[in-house]
Parts: sequence; structure tokens; C-alpha cells
Amino acid sequence: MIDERPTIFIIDDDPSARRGLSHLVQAAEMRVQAFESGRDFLNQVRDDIHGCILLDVKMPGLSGLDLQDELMKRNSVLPIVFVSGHSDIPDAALAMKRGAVDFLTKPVDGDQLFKAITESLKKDRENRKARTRKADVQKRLDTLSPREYTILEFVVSGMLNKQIAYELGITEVTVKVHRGRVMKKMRADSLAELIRLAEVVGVKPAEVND
Amino acid sequence: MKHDHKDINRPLNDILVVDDNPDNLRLLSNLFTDQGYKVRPAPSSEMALRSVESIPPDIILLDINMPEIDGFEICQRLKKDDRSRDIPVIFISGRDETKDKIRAFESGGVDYITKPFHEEEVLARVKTHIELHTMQLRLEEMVRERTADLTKSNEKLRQTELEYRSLVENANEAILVTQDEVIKFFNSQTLSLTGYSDDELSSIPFITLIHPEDREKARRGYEERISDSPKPSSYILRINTKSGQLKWVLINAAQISWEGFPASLAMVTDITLWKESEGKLIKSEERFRAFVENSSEAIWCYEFKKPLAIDLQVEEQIDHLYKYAYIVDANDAHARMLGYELGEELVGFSLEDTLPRSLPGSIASLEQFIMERYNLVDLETVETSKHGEQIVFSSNIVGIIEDGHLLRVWGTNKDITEQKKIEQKLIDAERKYRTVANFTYSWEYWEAPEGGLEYVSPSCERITGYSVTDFMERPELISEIIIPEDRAIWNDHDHGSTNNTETTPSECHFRIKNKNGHIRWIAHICQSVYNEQGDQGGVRVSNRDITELRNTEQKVLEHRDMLLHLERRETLGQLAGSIAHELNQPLTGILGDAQAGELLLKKEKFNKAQLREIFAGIAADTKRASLVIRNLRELFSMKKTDYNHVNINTLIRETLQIMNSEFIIQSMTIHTDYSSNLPNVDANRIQLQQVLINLIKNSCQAMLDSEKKDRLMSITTSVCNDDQVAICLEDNGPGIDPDQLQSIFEPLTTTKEDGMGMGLAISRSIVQAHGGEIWAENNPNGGIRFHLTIPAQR
Repeated sequence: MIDERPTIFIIDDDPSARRGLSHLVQAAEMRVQAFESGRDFLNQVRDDIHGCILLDVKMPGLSGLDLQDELMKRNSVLPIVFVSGHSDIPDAALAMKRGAVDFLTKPVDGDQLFKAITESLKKDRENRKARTRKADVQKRLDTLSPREYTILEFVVSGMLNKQIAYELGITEVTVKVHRGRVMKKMRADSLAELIRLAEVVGVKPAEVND
Repeated sequence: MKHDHKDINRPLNDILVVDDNPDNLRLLSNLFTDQGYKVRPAPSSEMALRSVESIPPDIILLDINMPEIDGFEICQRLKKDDRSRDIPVIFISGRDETKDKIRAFESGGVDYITKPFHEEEVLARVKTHIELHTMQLRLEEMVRERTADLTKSNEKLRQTELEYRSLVENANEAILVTQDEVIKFFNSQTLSLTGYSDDELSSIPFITLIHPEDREKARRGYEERISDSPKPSSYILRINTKSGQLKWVLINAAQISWEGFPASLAMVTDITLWKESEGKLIKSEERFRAFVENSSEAIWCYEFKKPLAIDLQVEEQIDHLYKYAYIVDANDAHARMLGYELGEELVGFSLEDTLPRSLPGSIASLEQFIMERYNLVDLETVETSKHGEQIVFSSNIVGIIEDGHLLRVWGTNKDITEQKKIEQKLIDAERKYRTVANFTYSWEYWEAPEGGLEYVSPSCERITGYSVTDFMERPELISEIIIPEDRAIWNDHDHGSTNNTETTPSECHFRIKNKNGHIRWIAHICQSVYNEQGDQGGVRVSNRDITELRNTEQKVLEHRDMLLHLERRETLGQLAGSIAHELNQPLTGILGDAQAGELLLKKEKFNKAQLREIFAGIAADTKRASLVIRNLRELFSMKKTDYNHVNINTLIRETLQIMNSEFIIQSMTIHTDYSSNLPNVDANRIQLQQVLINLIKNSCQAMLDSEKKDRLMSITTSVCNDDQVAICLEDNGPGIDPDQLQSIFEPLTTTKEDGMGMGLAISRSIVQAHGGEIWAENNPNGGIRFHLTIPAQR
């Protein structure tokens, strides 16, 4: 049976902190998995698992910030709550800028921790939802022909059919036909929705040479 | 000679009166006594004869008619005796007959007076006869003297002849007379000189005696002597004796007349021996000359244009010397010393030329010489050279005196100018060193090898209150003023006995009670002194008053403690982050567990095992936190800790615990390699820990600045040289600029932006206070390596 509960990953080199945090999270009926180094975590944890990370900052070898960086590179969406031995403002700023949910200072109060965990899990769910949606849009995008993709890029850039026809040296009628197909393939009901979908999958507006 | 006993110059007045008639006798006696005669009255013939026999009188008045022996008989007897024959006898008789008178004169009387007589007649006749007798005696005396003179001159003539004969015969010289080359006369010396016999000498020509080479000279001499205007001549010849022996002779010859014709009288002296000795003398003189000429000492001789009477006043003698003394002889050495070349150049120099009156000591030297009456003196004189330089001589001079006059002065000079300069330098140096010694602030003294003190510097009085004399008289005073508690230090001290030239002086510190009862701290340093030959010349001792220093030291120690404390406070500030971190870990554990427990207790049903685990965690972390705090409290308290046995391995472990978070924070890996049989050290634990923290922090800081990711520090302990515990801290940071390696232990030197720059300086002072050493070097592979040694506990 697959446990659908989110997992709280605790990564801390210090045994005391690791133990205390684990007990606390466990007492809240949450699933806990603790690691004494970021490397261990990377080696053992699959990407698609959901939950969040409680991450120490200063650690021998891979530091908390290093791990955050590495996870970003790997497109991990696991939210991170930093739990630092001492409050270092530059560290905290960098961590938050990179998308950390919170930067807590040891010793951590349970309420604060759980609030952060709750927020993280919510974010995790959102992240996952967004990721699923993006994958769906991407599938639709992949069905576009090169001509249709080009038309999409022009549309996203906000050009009128007449302008697109002029740029591509085709008739306005032809542009209309392509555009209709794009709308259909992307399952967009309106121009606004088309643009939002294009944005999800990162279609860039065409650059027009004046 | 019968009158020898009589002095003819005495007045003749001793008169013997002979008469058997007492009245006549008294009458005559009174008569002559009144006239000043010395009268001997004789009342009988016997008495008269006895009186004459004992002492003959000058004149006798004799009565004829007397019993037993009559006057004629007495007179005849007296005339028979030599002693009384010349005494004039005057008869006095009552008989006036011619035959009596004739008999009287026949018997030897000089006069005849008839009784009764007139007193005047008697006196006149006696006086006349006395005068006659006196004249006779004088005449006799004169004759006798003349005779004696004659005899004497005869004797003298005879003697003179004898003497001449003897002179000629016994003369040392051979004496001979030659005429026409023939020897006319010769004495016996001629025989012994020539070895020829009488006959041979008479028959051979004179010239054959002469050595062939000298014959011409002899012949010429002879002709000169025989000429019309001869001169006495003297010359030296060689002659050949009969046996062929060569003899040197001195001939003094003159012309004489021999048998009416001119001849040559020659006195020939054998001077062979003299000639030989003259040769020796010449050789001796030559040797003397050679000695004088080759002597390295100057030798000179002064004489005087006017002899100097040595009984003059000293000043007059000096004036005389300056006026009349001049050099008659000087050797080349003397000349060279005075800047000339040859001794002859100096001849004629006056005293003023070499020993000017103006130079100091000239007059004093001469005075000394004069006071010594020109006996050999040893003087130091300063003379001027040709170039006007002043040259110091050591001179030995002696005067030659004859008949109370100084004839000449001999002297030798040795140039001691250089020696004097060196001497002066030595004196100056001695004075300098003595001055330095006398003005040294320390109380210095010099112990003679045989005991006693050779020198004590005056500063002893400043330090001890006792004078130089106090110490010179009682050297043991030094040990007596040491306070009883410190006397053992003095007794245990080697006092320079183990010193040699290579070792450092031995030093000890003790307290003395000075004369005023104050306690002073003394640094006592002994150093054996050696002369150039390496002989031990005693021990030089320096006693420094270090009371102020001691007080200052005390203050320095206090300041250092304060500084160490401040340094620890600084360390605390720098470590605050990691200390917080180190404390926050257990606190995180505790808080987590505690809140977890709360959550569990809110449930209706909970796992007991889980709760137990939570409590165990809380307890463990509480202990962990308290350990951190305890370590910190020890490190940062103001509490003074004494030296104790410290195990360096343990100390490093504890220190790493304190620093643990720092390493974690800085992502630093610590590698340790503890020696298993490390001896303890005597150390102030906290201070040593401070050193370790400083060094570790230093490395951490250095590596933090580097880009390196695998920050590594290794700490190794080992035993070094059997008696040292060595700690080596090594990192792989950027290392340090080689130029700064030496100076990083200096205060206020820092390569860090923060920090006082005191860390390493304080570390070094701590290590040195423990008798250890600390130094740094760069690793060949990068990074710095600190070495630290502490003496092992004995």
C-alpha cells in the first residue's frame, strides 16, 4: 500500500537537533525521514515524492544553501524550511530569495515549525498541481506544427492577424485558419487563455524586426 | 860619643863642691846657690867619687887636704875615666906652695885657688871655666857634625854608584852602547833579551840582531843619532834572538860620548808581550766597536770641553753640562733613533740638541743623575729627533769620574716611544674601564682567584648602604646581608666556578637587607674572567638592583593577566556565533523533545517507549548544553588558575569541542592524531587552551578567506627530544607571506580585518612563560603549520 501522506525530510548533521525535530514532527502524526547530510538525502530520495524539507544551514560537506541550489538545478519542487543554528542575515536573505518557505532559528518553537510545515505542504501541493498542468499544456503544445507554433509566438506577442500575415507574407485568411487550429489544439477558449497557457510552458513572444 | 847624654844647649850650672871641712863646704855651697848654680856638696872623697859616677857634674871644686883619698888622687881618678875626664876640676887649697900648684895642674886640674879666697874671685874663675868648657863642648859638637856629614856624602856617592850599577844591571830594559855598529857596552838584560853570550855580543855587528825588514829603519835611526844635531828618538823594532825567535822591542835612544867619540845609548824594552796584548786589545776594541755599532740600543758618549767638578751645586752642574757637554761617540742605532743615519753625524752635538731644557723631564733626569753622583742610573728621557719628534728613551747612563771631575758620560738608549704609547693606552684604557666600572649603576666587584676582592664599584653604597671599604675589608659582608630566606639561593649558586669562556654567566636572584633595613632584590651574575693566556683571573660579579624591575614585573604580570582576559573576551565575541550554535543544538533537541512530549500527552493513547525516548533525549541534551557552558565558563572566567598537570591530548579534545560549531559553520574538517604515550606538562590549562583556540581560530579565519571547499585542519601531538611535548597544527589554507612569518608573533600584527592583532603575540608570551617555543612555517603544499613545544613534566 502506498503511503499517500507527505513526508517531512529533516536534514541536520547535529544528532540532538535531528532527534528533537524528528520527535516533534512524529508527535504531530507526520511522516518523518531524517538525514545527517545533504548528500545522503540526494542519494536516497526520489524527486516525485511529496512533502517538505527541514534543512540545517551549516553542515560539513554540502551546506544547506548548497543543497537548495542543487535541488533547484534538479527541478525539485520540495519546499524548504531552513532551521539554522544561528541567525545569519545574508544566509537567510539568500535562502528566501531562492524560494525557501521560511528561515527559522534554533531552538525552534513547535508552533512556528508546524506553521511553516503546513505552509510548505500547501505549497508542495500547489507546486505539484502546477507541475501537472504544465505537463498537460506541454502535451498540447507538442501537437502544434512548426507553422502553428510560429503563429502562436506572434499571437503571444500581441500582433493582429493582418500584421502577422504581413510579417509572414501570407494572406490574412491563412493566418486566421492557423490561429483557429492553434486555439483548438491548445484547447483555449479565448485569446487570454491561450496567452496564459503559452506562458505556463514558456513560449516566448516573437521578436519583430522593425 | 861620650857626651851624648849631655845637651850642650843646656846652661852649665851643675857644680860639685868637695871639702871635708863643713864650714868651707857650707860657705861655698851658699855662695854658688845664691848665684843660681845647682850645688852638690860632697863632705868626703868617697861621696865625691860616687856623685860623679852617678851623674857627672859640669864643674868640680875640689879640696886637696882630705883624709883617705886626697884631692890630687881624686882628680887623677876622674881623669882616667872617660865619663869624667872632660869635667873641669878647680882645686881649692890652703897650701900656697908652687909644688902643690904644679902637682894640681899635673893631676889634671884647670885652676888653683888658694884659701882664704875672695868670693868674687872664686865666682869669676868658675864662671870662666864653665864658659870655656861650654865653648869646648860646642866645638867638639861641630867637629862631630862635620865628620858625620862627610861620612854621609861619601856613603851617598858610594850608594849612587851602586844604584846606577844595579840599575843598569838589574834594569828591565836591555841597555847597550853602540859605536860604529859595534856593541861597546851592554848589560846582562841584553844577554837574556838576545840569547847571545858575552863574547858573541862583543864580536857580532849590532845590525845582525835586527829583523831584516827593520834593519834600514834601525840604521837610519842610528845615523840620525850620531849626526851633529841628534835628537833622542823612540821607535819600535823587531829583533831576532839567537834561537831565531822574533821579539818586538821599544828602543829609546840618545847620543852619548863614549871614549871621546859619539855613540848611541839604547834602552831596549821587550814589548813582545805588550804587542801581543795590544793585538788582543785591538781585537777586544774591535769587538767592542762591533758590539756598539751593531747594537740595537743606542750607545753614546759625552765628554766636556771643560771638566766638570762634581762638588758644584746641582744647578751649576746642569748649566755646565748644557754649556760644555758634547757627543764624542754615538753608534748608528742612536743616530737612527734620532732620525739620522750614521753615528758620526751626532758627534759634536750638545746636550741641548738632543735633550733640550724645554722638554719636560730633561732637568729632572739630569738632577737625578747628579744626585746619584753620576753612578749608573736608569732614567726615562724624552729627546727630540732630527724632525722635531719627541722620542721616549729608557736610558742607562754612567759617568766616569777622576779626581772629583766628571770626564765623560756613557749611556745607552732604548726607544720606548711605542711602548710608552701602548703603556699610555693601557693606562687610558684602565682609567676608562675603571671610570666605567666606577660609574656603573650596578654594584660590581671582582673576586681574586686566591680569594678576597680586587675591586668593588662605588655603586655598592647606593644599593647596600655599605661603603667600598666595608666590602674590601670584609668580603663576607656580601653573603651576610642576604636575607635568611634567600641564603639557600646564594649557597646553591655556583659563583662562576663552572664558568668557562664559552658558557653564559651564571645568574641568581635574591634579596638583601641594606644598611637602612630596606629589602632590595639583587640579580647576582657571576662570570669567570680569563686573561689572554686563558688563565683564570678570578670572577667578575655584577649585582643589579632589580627591586624596581621586580615590582614592574609584578605589574606586567597583572597587565598580562588583564590582557589575557581581554583577549578571551574578544575570543568570546568572535566565537559568539558558534557558541550560540553549539548551545542551540542541544536546546533544539530539548525543545523539540519537550514539545513532542506535550503533543503526545494531548492524545488519549500514546506510545510509552516513544515518551521514554523523548525524555532520554532531553536529559542527554541538557548535559551536553551544560558541558558547553562549563567549558566556556572556565575559559572566560576571570578566575586565576594555577599551574597543574595538563594532558595536552585531553586539552585539545576539549578545545575542539568548544570550537566544534565553528568548524561546522566553516565547513571545516578536523583531523587529529594523538600520541598515545604523551607525558603531562606543567601548565596553566586555561592559558594553553587560549593558545590552541587562537591558533585554530587563526587557521579557520585564513581558510574562510580562501575559495577552497575542502577545508582541512590537522592537529598532531608527539614527544620531541624526550623532554618536550610538541603540538603541530596544520591547515590547507592560503598560508602566509614568507616575509610575515617572523613578524606574525609581534603584537598588533594582523592579516585579518577584525581582531586586535594580539592573538599570536599573546600566544607566544604564554608559551614562553611555560618555557616552550612557538613558531610558524608554510606547508610545502600550501597552508600554514604552527609548531608548539612545551617542556614535559619531569
